[in-house]
Amino acid sequence: MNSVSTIARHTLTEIRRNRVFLILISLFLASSLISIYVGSATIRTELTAYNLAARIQDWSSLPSSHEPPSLPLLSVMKNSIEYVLMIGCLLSIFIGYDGISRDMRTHTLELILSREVYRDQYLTGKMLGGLTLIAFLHLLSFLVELIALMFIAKTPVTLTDFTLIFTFHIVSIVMMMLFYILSLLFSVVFAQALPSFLTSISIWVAGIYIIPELARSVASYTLSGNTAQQNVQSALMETPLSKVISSLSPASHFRSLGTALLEKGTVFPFSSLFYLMSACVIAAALLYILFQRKELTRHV
Amino acid sequence: MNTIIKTHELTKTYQGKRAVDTLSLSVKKGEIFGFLGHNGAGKTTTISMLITLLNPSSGQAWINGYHITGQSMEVRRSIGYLPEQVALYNELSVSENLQFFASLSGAGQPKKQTEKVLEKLHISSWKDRKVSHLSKGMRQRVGLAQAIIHEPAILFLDEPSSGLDPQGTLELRELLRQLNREDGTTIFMNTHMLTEVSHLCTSIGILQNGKLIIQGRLEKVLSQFPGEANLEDIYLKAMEKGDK
Repeated sequence: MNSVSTIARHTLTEIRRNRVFLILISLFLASSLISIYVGSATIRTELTAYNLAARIQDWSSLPSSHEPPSLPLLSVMKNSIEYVLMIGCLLSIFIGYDGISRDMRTHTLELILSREVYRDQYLTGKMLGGLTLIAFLHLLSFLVELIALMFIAKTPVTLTDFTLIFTFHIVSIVMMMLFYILSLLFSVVFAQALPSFLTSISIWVAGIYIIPELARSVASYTLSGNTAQQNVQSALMETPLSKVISSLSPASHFRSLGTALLEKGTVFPFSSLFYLMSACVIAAALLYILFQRKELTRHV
Repeated sequence: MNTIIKTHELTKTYQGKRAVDTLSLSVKKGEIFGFLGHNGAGKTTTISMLITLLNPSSGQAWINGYHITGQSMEVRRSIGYLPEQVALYNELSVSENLQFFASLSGAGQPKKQTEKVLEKLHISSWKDRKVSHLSKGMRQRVGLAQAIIHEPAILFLDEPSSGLDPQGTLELRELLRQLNREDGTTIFMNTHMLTEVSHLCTSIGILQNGKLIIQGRLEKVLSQFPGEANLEDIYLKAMEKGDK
């Protein structure tokens, strides 16, 4: 356990001293603030529009035909979902893509493993270091959001809201850990920084943007109605194929989890949480297996 | 004297090619052993197996009485290792680097051990300097400090003088002599610098294409080649013999 914590602490120190990482952290925290500012501004605009429409109807003595917009308190934070997918996952890739290959390249891994450290302890230390850092970031972000909700959005935070925001951050940690573990995996596979970075970024782009877009495009091509109105309605509906494609993307699962927590606040898609956690476990298992088999030195 | 390093038909095969071929050697406690051979002879692969980084394809080896595959943690406790390219974290200070490796070696008080080793190698004044700001020679000395921070019984060095200037080479040689004399540390050194071997080593082994062609006390090896003036000539002759 001592070796694991030593490597975890060392991983933290290494990352902390990197300037690019500090920039990304600042961006991540700023995004928490921006998310709430933009969210509250949007809600204010919607409410103003509704009030204006209601007033016009009052003047003209027409019966009210519009329902007041349904705006759950936490919908001010809905942009956070996209910020986690964009900045959060990028940050995870950044801390992981050269995490192990750097130790291989500089031969420090040989030194570490010639000490009383098993390979799995080294990996556990690396993952623990990354997890601590990601969790710490989310704790900071959580505090920033609570303050911003109270002082920027000027909304009282109930215990339920507090729990929902907290759960959202836990889910975000799982999402970011998935990309951290994947980038560590590529770091082991390629043993070089550049291919590992490019592959991690490609997976990120595919998982976050391409697959969900593909699912959407498949859904829009399945026009089956006889009338234009029916076609529009069917185009908006998901098809089995689009559902299958969409389910391959971790971002789709994260979005549905985030939406359930921050916008609806009711039905929690446990299957999506299960998907994200399973993906983390499978990636971690692959990482352990590959690293155990990796030959670290091939000099003769 | 007891045997502290022993290998029996140790073999490592990469894609059908034998990098180390049925190597059987023994090194006695307190010796400075020079492991000679040209580039690609299998010296680093041998060290990598002995320090438990690589699993042998076949054969056995014992370090300080412990088997390299069955008792790898006991082996690691007994050894220190200095690779050819000094492996340190550039963005950390000398002291931070040493404390990190001391913690991994199970040293009870990493800070205390670090101060002790800095003192021993006369580099206490560098402790707060970043490794990236050190010269090659200075880095080599810090690398040696990390290798001996847990006071190992055996020190494995891979081309320790590689890239050092003559002054750095002399200083390193003196440090190794001091370690061997004062602490009784056994030193196993990969090198192709014959002057270093003749000045420092008490026994040698010559490896050619993965096979050990000569092994023994330095003076004994020298006596096997009457008429040859120096180790350089003996090395060349042994290689020629090996080729045949």
